[in-house]
Amino acid sequence: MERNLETRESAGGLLARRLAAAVPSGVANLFLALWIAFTLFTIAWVLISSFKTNRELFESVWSLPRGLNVQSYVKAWRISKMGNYFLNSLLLITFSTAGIVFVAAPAAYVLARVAFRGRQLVTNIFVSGMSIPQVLLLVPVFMLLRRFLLLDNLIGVGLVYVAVNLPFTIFMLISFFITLPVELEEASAIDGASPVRTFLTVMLPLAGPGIITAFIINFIWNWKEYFWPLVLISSDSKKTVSLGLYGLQGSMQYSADWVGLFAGCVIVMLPTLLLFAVMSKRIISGMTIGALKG
Amino acid sequence: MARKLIFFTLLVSVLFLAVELSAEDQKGGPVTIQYFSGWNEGEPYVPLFKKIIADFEAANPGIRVNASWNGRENLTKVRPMLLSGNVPELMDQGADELTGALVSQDLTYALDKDLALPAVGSKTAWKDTFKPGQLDAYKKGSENHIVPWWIDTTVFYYNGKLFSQKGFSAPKTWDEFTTLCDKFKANGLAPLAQDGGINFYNVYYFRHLVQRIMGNGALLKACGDRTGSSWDDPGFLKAAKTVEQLAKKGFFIKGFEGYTFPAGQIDFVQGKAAMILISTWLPAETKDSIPAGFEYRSFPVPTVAAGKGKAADVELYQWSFVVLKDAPHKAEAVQFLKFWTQKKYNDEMAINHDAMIAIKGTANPPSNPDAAKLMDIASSTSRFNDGVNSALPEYWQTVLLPADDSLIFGKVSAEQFIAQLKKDSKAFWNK
Amino acid sequence: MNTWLKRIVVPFLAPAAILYLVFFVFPAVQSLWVSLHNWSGFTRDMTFIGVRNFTEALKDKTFHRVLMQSLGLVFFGGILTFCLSLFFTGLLGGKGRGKGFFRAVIFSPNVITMVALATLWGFIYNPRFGLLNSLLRALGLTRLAEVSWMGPDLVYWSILAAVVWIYVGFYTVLFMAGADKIPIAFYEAAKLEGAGNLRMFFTITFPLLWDVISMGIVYWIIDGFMQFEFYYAVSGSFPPIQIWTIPIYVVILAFGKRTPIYRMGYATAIAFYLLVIVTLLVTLSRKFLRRTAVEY
Repeated sequence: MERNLETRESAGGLLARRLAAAVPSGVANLFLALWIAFTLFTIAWVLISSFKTNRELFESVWSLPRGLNVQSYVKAWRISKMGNYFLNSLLLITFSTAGIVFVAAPAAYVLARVAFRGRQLVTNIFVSGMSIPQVLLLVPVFMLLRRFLLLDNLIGVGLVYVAVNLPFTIFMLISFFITLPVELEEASAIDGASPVRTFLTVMLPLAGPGIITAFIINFIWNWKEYFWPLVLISSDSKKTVSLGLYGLQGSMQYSADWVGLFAGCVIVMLPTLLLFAVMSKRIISGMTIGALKG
Repeated sequence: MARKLIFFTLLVSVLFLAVELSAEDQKGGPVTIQYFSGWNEGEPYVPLFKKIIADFEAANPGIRVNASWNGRENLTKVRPMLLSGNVPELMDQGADELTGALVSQDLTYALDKDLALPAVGSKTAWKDTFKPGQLDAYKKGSENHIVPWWIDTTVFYYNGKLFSQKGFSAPKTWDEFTTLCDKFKANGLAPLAQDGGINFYNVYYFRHLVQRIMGNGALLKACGDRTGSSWDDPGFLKAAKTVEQLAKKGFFIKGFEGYTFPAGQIDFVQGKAAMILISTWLPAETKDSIPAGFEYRSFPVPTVAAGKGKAADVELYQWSFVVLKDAPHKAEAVQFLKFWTQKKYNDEMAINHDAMIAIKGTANPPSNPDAAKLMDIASSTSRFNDGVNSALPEYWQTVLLPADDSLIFGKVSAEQFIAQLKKDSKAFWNK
Repeated sequence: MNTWLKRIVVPFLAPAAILYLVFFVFPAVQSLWVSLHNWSGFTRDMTFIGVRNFTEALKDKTFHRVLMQSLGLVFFGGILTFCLSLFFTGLLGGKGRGKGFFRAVIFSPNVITMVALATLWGFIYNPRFGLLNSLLRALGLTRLAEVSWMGPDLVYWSILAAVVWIYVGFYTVLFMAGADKIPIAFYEAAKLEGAGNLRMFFTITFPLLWDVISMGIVYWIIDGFMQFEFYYAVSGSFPPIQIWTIPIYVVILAFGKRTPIYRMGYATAIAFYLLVIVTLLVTLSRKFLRRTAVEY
């Protein structure tokens, strides 16, 4: 092991050391500062511009709005129906994410803590789903939902969301469950509790942070995406908020209402940004948990 | 604890399902017809359409109209609806696109019987209220499947105020046109605005030059030629060379290839370019962005010396309605269409949105005076894009449009363009 | 103990297994069957055409082009993303004030819906009043300000840059999590010898991070080939062919964008090729990137 490290070090290390010497710390930090500033600025800029009028926006893209023009939000919410879409998304994403967690948690629990024949195989089958391109499932899922009469129906989209998010969620929750002490089940069995009761009253609460993280990550992910609604939803009234924003962007070309579009962007961005602002540590650790196993 | 959880979940699921399902049509009660519109919610004329819907519902209490403002990708949404058994009654879009996607696929309902009946509030047969020739343009054999409403043609627009300030007048021949472009360029104003990101706007130049040089139908014939040898006709090369010259002389505004719609037409109305070749829906789409004193004027595509096409050869675009054959409430849908095509709405559309309407006796569009006159004196009409996009949609998208983009962006010469078309045509037709 | 627990294996796995089988596994398997047919998605008839879809794809010039574009995205985008992510990891690694805040900011584009980001970048690159060009003009770089960022020559790279900006956030966070596990003692020892941040990065962090990096490469291969949402939304009306990715081509074939195409069998065949390519590259990567684990 030691030798491996040394040989690798000397191979790239010489070049690396030369590079490192060439780039002064100051430049590196400046680059970081610029990157941070750019990211913060662009997001803030969308927010600020949404309060301008179109005229103000075209006069100068950098200026601050003269007044707080909430007309763009009113228009986006009511006329462009972002309000309806928001409600659709809220219902759909909340329920389907709850569904994902309800379904994935028990599965992850047994895969993590109960030895049975074929456990590794089942785990692999679930987890390998992460590398299947969703676009491959496009036509068969379309056919399937048609047969169940669930095309153009948010329930159909919800079911698809649960299925396609199982691989990652199970993967993540297995990592959480594995960290809990082995003695817990034994203690519970001694107390005379059934395995189901043990799961509900002992394991779940302890894995609570993991469950919450899984919920939030899935919530953000599904809120963001618009691929499945794009292909499965045709009626305007059933659109989700991300799909609605996509439609708004398309229609904006004809109405030249950029500030309305930005208002729509803010409406879609805000929930996930707020969730992230409050829970960034949790979200980040949850997303990276798999990479650090072992 | 577990029991409470289960109960709560069931309750919430029931509520959710209730909300979801209540969004569906109610069984019994008023008849609801579905209107899948190619318009986007934010377009300036949509409030008028919503008013028409409201008026119709008020006048017909047993019928409700459920409009989905799908935007231009309207047609791609219909097949999932057909598959889910939930067929919308009405769709609207350009007649060319409706023909290619729906009429030719036997998905639409023939309206001849309904057209023979009287129009709303009059004794005249509905079909006789249309301007001559309008119902014939996209007939399916002898049947009428399409109800045209907002009609357009393609012209060069200019700011009347700018031209009179500079003492310029609308050119009639292509040579006059290029001289005019030279003058603008020398004066530091880009002669031509263009939305380079819209490939079917780009092909306008080639398509109309072919018409002026070779007459109606030449483009369609060449596109459908399985051997590709039609492209050898010198007329096509001449048209291509003319486009090449426009690109080479830098007449198009700088950077137009990277424009996202509607940047090109906004450039034009804001005076950053002198002219734009575009269809007559331009005033309706851009009126909110014009500076004070802007005067929409237009002239038809100039004629080419020794060419077969005349100035009064007019391209006809029809934004139209169709009724879908497998929809449940076709009669109510037709009723709605008759209601829509009444004089008061036609007039309002023409006056407020400068639209030319396919119905006789409609008011003149104030910002499209030249185009309206042109339509009236038209001696011949050709289908939009010479019918290529409705008869040969895949060829249109994969062969003609990409090749034309290279030509207008100045990336290939006219000879290379023609050679490419020949080669790709042969490959396409012999796949 | 274990037998007591074994009672719940089936009921606990059942819901997940059923949903997964019905909506994921079954469709994935069925996709092979679909791709052997010609299907417009409209009528019930699917015409069996054997492997014709697969052979047509091999001759399809558009598919070749899109494949090259996707490969370019994975390769060039990957190099850029990984270099930048490792750079930030090195910079922010260890302790340091504000590390959590910087990390969160860098990551933030990953929690924003791709449509909003695409709108933003569309506006940044807008030739007339976009942020980039007006900045360049303000800096006096008028020649650069006239470059057509979304024009056919540059749009591929412009969008690649935007995608890199988004994903650097994710991979930085990933690598930082891995770097956090490296014992602080190594860094302290290095500091005593007078090494600066970057130097410590190249001699400590990078080699010990290799496992996480190689896992990241696998993630990126999958992510990169699956790119759809940003590319599809960034151009407003119709994505120019220069930025088509394989998933975009599949969706356009299956549904069309403005013109309905509805070649569902062929679209699925292309998606199948995508699966094969991704699986191949992932397997190759795992083989070549693996090495004996470093214990520390």
